[in-house]
Amino acid sequence: MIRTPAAPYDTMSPGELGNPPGWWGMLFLVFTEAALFASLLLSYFYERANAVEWPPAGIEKPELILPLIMTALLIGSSITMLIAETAIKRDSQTGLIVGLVLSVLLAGGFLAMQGYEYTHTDFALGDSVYSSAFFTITGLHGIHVAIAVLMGLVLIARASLGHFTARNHNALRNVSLYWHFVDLVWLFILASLYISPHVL
Amino acid sequence: MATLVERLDRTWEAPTGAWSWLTSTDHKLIGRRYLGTAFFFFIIAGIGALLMRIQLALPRNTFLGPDTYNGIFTLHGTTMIFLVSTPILFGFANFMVPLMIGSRDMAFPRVNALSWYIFLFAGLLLWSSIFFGAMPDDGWFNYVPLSGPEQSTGRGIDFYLVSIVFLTVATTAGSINVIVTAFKMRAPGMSVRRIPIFIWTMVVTSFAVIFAYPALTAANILLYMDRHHDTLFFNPTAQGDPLLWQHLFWIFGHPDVYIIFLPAVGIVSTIIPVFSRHRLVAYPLIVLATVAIGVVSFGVWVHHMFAVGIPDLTNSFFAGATILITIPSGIQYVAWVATIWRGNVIWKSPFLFVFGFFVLFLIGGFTGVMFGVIPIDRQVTDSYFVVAHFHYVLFGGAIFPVFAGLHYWWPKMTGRMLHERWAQLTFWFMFVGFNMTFFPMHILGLLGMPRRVYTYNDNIGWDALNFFQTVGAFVLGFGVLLFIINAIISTYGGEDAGPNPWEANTLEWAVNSPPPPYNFVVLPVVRSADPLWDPPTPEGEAEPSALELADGKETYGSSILDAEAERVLPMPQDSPWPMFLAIGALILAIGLLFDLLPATIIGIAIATIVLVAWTWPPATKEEAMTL
Amino acid sequence: MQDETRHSRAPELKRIHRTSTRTTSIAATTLPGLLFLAQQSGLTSALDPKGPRSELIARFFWALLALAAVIFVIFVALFLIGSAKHNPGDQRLHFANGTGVVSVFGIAIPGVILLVIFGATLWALNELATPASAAEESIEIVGHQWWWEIHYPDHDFTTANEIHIPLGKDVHVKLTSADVIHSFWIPSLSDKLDMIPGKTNEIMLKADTPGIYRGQCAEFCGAQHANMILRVFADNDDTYDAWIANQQADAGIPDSDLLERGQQVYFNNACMYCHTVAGTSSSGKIGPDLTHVASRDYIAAGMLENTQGNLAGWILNNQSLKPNNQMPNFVMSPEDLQALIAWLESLK
Repeated sequence: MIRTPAAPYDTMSPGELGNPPGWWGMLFLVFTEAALFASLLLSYFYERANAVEWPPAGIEKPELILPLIMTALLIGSSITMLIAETAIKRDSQTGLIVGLVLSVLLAGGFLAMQGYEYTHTDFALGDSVYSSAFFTITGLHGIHVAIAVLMGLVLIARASLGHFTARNHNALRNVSLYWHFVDLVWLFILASLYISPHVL
Repeated sequence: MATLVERLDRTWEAPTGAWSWLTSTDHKLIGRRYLGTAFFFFIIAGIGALLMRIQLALPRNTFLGPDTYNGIFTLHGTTMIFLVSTPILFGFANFMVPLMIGSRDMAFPRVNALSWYIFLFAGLLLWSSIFFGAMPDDGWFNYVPLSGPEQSTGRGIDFYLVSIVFLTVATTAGSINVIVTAFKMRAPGMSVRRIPIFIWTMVVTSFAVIFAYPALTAANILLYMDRHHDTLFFNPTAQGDPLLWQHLFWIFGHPDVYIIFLPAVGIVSTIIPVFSRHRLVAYPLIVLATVAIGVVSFGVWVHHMFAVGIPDLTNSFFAGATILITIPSGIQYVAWVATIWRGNVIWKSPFLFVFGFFVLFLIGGFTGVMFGVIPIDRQVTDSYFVVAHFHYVLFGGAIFPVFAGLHYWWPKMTGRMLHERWAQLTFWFMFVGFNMTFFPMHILGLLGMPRRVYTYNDNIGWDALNFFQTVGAFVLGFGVLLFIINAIISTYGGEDAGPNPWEANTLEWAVNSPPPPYNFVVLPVVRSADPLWDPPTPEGEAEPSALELADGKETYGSSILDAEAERVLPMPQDSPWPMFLAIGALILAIGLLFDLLPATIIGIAIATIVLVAWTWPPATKEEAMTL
Repeated sequence: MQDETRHSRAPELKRIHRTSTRTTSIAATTLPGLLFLAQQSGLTSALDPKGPRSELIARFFWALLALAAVIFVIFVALFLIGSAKHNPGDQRLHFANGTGVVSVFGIAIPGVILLVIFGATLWALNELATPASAAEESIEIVGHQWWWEIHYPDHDFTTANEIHIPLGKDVHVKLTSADVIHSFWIPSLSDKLDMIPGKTNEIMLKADTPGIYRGQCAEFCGAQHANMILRVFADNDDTYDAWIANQQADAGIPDSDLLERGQQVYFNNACMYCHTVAGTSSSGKIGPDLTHVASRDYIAAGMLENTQGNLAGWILNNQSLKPNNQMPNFVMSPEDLQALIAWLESLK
């Protein structure tokens, strides 16, 4: 017997449906990226366990003010992203766009400060394992933030064209998942590269 | 009112013409491309092996110089692992997963197309190293410091690093695709207990890819930085540690061999019930065993490093895990024997190859247990004994099932049968040739012959065995040639297969051979684990329902555990974006490999633009629903 | 279709059974034959142990091999017999309770066997862990691309590519590398251990039977990995003491015109920048120590026998014998070459 069922999405509310395939795809991308950063951070600690002195002689322990400001900016951008998502769920286009713009600006600010940080270290990339790890890990993370910013800009463009509704804003959900992940990775980097030399 | 088939034909056109072929997102076409491309790499890496065997046939031979030999063994291993084994199995997955779950395509058809393009480009990039006179030549695991900036001054290693990371994008994308497809697109009624075993193995494999490949990527990034940007990660004179490379590599590398092995045994578990005419015994335990292998495979990697000088206490933990991982394989062996025991076996070529696998992987498994015994490992690792071991488990344990799969699914993919007697001949040449080539290697290893040697002295007793092995290699190669001939003949004049020549039990056999672009005219609803063996509906009862979805390029999405129909999923039209993105990524890869900043920038620019175009919603609102 | 397949099964089946059984029997008889060969020929073999480490490992190996053979025969037999077995009726949806069988034969029994193997592994590790304090001799080996630098710290001399050890005594060997990862492996005596730059690994070596034991570098180390061979001489006490005394001596002073000319040629060609000859001003550390080169059976790290012809070929054209090795080819007149070789041969 062949039947043509009523398309379920007409009768099930979005809350009743599971996440769409695109969201799951982003989730697994996040998992694999998490494994990449985990491998790099574990490498950092492995090399550090071999070292006699950490940071090596001639390098000061990492200063904390700049990284903490950068953290505030990035966490802030996560909060504004959350605001954007909450806004569109209430059908507020303005709230969505404001949230997105703020997120992009805050993340952009993070990158600017990272640029400043890079030009003011007292070590260069190839000086030591310490400096090698510092620039490689924070650099890779910075690239991820830049990608997030690009995605945010695309979302702003689409939002201005009215692509998103309360019922359907899947692209925003997916980007937001990535965004929060990148910010979470930063917290691990902060703890490992910046704070732990002071504490361990 | 047009018939269902007419309506479907309108929206699901088969590719006609070059542009249509290049932009197609049909999983069946992409699956066949994967299989063809991987088989092509299999042949060229196999020819590399034959060249090596010619060089080793005689002591102090001058057929190949050391640099060429070392490049060839590196390309051979790297290709067989990265460009043959995994892609060929993902090729089967691509073709069969949507069919086996009663769906019309993968969850992300365009990403699927992208994966193949990247696989092709990455493989060609790696092999192009020959034309630059820069074959990577430090083996497929590429140990530092030999592969570092001071020791390997040419570009060979860079070809390896960049091609592999490039390829990783394809493998990872493919894995995500498999998982989401298996999670969200199963036929209504295909609950967790009814999922075909091949799907299970592909899902576990894909999770392993997601968590294991990043360790390799991390290692490759660090070595790339050492080689191109003067970092010191692996430089022992600057407090860097060469062993870090080994840890990262093997944290990836050991799960990787299970990434290869699991889909292969998934094929075995698919074929045995069909040719035993008995459902798979202990299906739940096999599923648990599959998951157990996937998980435990992450905890054994140091067994590749037992000889590096790590303290015994640490080594012992990994020896325990290594020995433990035998058990899930044992579970499967007993379940297979039980299935065969209770069934009525039909010895057709797919089953013959399964028998070959059964014998060869058993041998490989035994030497594997020996390698778990740390002192024995330290005696025979890095010798021809380990070369024997891993060929038994990778060739015997994965390539034989691949050939089983090729013979089993050939009718479904092409609509024609392979010639059966010819196929059995293929098997015997391969089986005998394989054992002739690789069994004596156990002995050579015990006699002290290290691996990766381009020649050997003539007064130490290795001559006869080496010569014998070379003969065996050509017997094996001849077997493969027989398959190729069989394939060509079948394509042009093989017997018509019909939908289900093997009287099999899973959904791919419910449709024509080859399947139409839309797979199923009506989407099935499943009520058992062996849908095609279900007894006929008793008189008076309603037939199980099937779902009609014929006005638009669409399939169903369902819930993860119970497979309840959830939503209609629009499938994309043909798209050029995957090809363009792959081209942009290739340009980026070339920029990174050759230190060409303009190429790097152009590659990034193309990739960015294409990605925006790709993810920009299409005009119709319905399609926008699921982006 | 059901009938057809039943009919076609029988002859097909018989043929495959015959072939499978035949192949398996051939394999089963050839295998022990080959292994026996490995043991008897007087060749270097891990299964022909000449020291306690290899002895222990070989015994463990044989035990596992026997166990493997038994399990192999059982499983293959079950597969073949199971395939031949006919169960009447349609078995496709027949429910066989696999859980019991699999749990016993797939989990419990293998679990016990594997646990025993693991226990034996731990025991073997313990047996092989000889403390360094038990050593009666000490050697330090540094791996190079593609030769072995050898020091005897207690006797204060350096040599290359060949070690002598006193019979029946524990020798403490320290291993490291000057460039890439190499591996120290003498299968007749011991399991292998890697030689890693920046790290020192240690192993205890002992031989119970006098003889010459061969080893090769067992970690791919570049172009000439295949030609990095090490020879181990297990000497009784007198021979050993004599060898030590000889190695400790400086090179003799040339006592003929030919030898003097040879030594002059050596210095004229700047050989001293890479090689050491104790007792002269030649103290290069890039290549093997040549103080007693004539006492060694092989040159080029076990690749070529130490003959006049090979020495000449090596000096003039080593790049085609061992491509990419670090020594360049040399050009010199035949008379100079002859003198040089005579002098090198005097360095016993």
